Amino acid sequence: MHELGLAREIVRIVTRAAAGARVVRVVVRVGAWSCVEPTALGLCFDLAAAGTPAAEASLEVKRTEAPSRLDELVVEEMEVV
Amino acid sequence: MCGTCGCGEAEPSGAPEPEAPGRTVRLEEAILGRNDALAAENRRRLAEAGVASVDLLGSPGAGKTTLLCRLIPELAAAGPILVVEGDQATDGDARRVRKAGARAIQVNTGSGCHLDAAMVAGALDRLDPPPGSLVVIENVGNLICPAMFDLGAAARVVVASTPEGEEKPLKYPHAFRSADLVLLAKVDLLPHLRFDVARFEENVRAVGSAEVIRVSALDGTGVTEVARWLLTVGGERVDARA
Ligand SMILES: Nc1nc2c(ncn2[C@@H]2O[C@H](COP(=O)(O)OP(=O)(O)OP(=O)(O)O)[C@@H](O)[C@H]2O)c(=O)[nH]1
Ligand SMILES: [Mg+2]
Ligand SMILES: [Zn+2]
Repeated sequence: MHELGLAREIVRIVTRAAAGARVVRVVVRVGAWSCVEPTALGLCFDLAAAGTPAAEASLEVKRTEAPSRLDELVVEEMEVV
Repeated sequence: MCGTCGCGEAEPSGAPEPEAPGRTVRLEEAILGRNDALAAENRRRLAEAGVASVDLLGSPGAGKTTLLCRLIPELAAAGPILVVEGDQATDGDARRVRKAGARAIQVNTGSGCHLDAAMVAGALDRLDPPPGSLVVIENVGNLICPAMFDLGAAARVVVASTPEGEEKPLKYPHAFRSADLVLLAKVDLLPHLRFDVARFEENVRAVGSAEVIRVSALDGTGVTEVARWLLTVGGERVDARA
């Protein structure tokens, strides 16, 4: 279950960048070859975000098929309030 | 305007204020950035110490440890061999490679399905590889997530064995694409299987550019060739020392 480790990193990245603000939406890009299962990542994100300023955030997973980005795993943007 | 459907009607008074729209913050940050930075640090540290390194990846039971045990005596003349053995549990593989003549430490990942750069950094602290040595990192048997985690080794070798079928490179493209060398293991079993070697090699080329060497730890096929390839990685350690 590497998705849990990845979800923890996503939460770490957004909560640090949010600097105390509440995170309501997170968009990540996941390359088609990156061995990440979007549904599993979503479930793990909810677990990892519990009790953090991202606890209420929705996670949007964009799957990228571009040949040069098949391996990518990127936090693209977030929305804070 | 009605906030629900945009129909242009006045909102009924007393309705709750819609939440203030959020501020969008562009991040473009690699999710594995922290691992990648640690891996880069491992790579720098190994190169500075004049140590060659290779990361071994493959399915459970592909034959990584057995092959490594055959390679160790062939490689030992060129310098010390140090092995980091990654498995979820047990230290059997470390004991096997020790018996073959290498210094080895076992890293157990518990529920984790891969090694990461921090675990390798810890292992390197303990192994303290001397200049001119070769560090071999055998990852947890798994073709999926180990491919995503850079460990900081100079090269990656992916091991696939004949009983696993020709389609492995297409099923696990990320692992095979990230390989510098692909070993087709257990070729001694070919007479008993319907395995199309040419198709396997085509599939490797379809996802990446790694060279394929056919090996058998049982009858020794390809072992010398692989040792020579690893010593080319080893060539970098001599350069790094100079
Ligand atoms: N016929 C044949 N069997 C082999 C060969 N190499 C390994 N095996 C057998 O395959 C089984 C698994 O070998 P290992 O070397 O332990 O495989 P591994 O990839 O290290 O496995 P994990 O570390 O558990 O992922 C053992 O029973 C070996 O005897 C080979 O070249 N030919
Ligand atoms: Mg093994
Ligand atoms: Zn995994």
